[in-house]
Amino acid sequence: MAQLLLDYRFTATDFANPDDTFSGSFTNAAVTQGPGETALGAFDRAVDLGATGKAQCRLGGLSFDDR
Amino acid sequence: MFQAKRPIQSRQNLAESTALPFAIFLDKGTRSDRPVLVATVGNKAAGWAGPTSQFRLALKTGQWYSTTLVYDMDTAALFVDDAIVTVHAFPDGRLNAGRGQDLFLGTWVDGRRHHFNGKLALFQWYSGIPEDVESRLDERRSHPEWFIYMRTSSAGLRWEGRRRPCHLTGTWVHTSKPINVAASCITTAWTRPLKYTERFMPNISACAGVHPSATS
Repeated sequence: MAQLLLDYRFTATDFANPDDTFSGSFTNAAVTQGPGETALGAFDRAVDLGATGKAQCRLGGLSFDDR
Repeated sequence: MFQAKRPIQSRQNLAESTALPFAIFLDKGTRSDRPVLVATVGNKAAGWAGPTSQFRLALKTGQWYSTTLVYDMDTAALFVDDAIVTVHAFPDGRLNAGRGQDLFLGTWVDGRRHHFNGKLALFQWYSGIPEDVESRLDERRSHPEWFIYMRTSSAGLRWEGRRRPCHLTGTWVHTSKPINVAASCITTAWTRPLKYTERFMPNISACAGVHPSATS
């Protein structure tokens, strides 16, 4: 059974799981138009990283399958 | 889900983790506006290696794509827009221990290098593999490419870099030097590139010392 551990939809420069866990934030990035309707759902927004945009998110406590 | 905005001249990281060693990045293709998508894992025996879209899929800048790296036991698979592109096999599937607890988006793990100049819309990380995805990965374990990677990885060789080309399983791959386990394949391919045909299958089987249909 697959379990979704991280589910980030980049509608803003701040992001987190739907339950607000494992939050993070892009620096030097801007919100922009997303791809719209896709096979994975509708994404009206995205983040544009431009020349220096990036994010770092702490995953301490995240339990994943490494096999 | 990503979109590269500008021509890719060198590695640009979409995502990389220090908690579980994996990286997904774009690199320069045959043309700067035709980037290559690469997904690697930090394997204990083979080091950083994994599947690439090179010679299999022509990505374009300015276009949205979804990509998925799937790792299952001894095989890493690369999907683009829900279609499997290729796999990379490891004789020993164990991964290196994580060196940190972080996920980096749009940059390498130092936060400075391999910056991604583009757009991101979605990032998801699953524990476990959805059944339909796993079945498509499993199916690739019967393909010649899987056996070639398995045998070359066993010999401590890597199929990456700008090295001597040969033609295997319908795509151009690269070797650092003539490979013992696949010498006949490589020799043949160097003189006359072969395509993935029934005729080629026995060659691969002979080289790899195992026939796909004889394995589970």
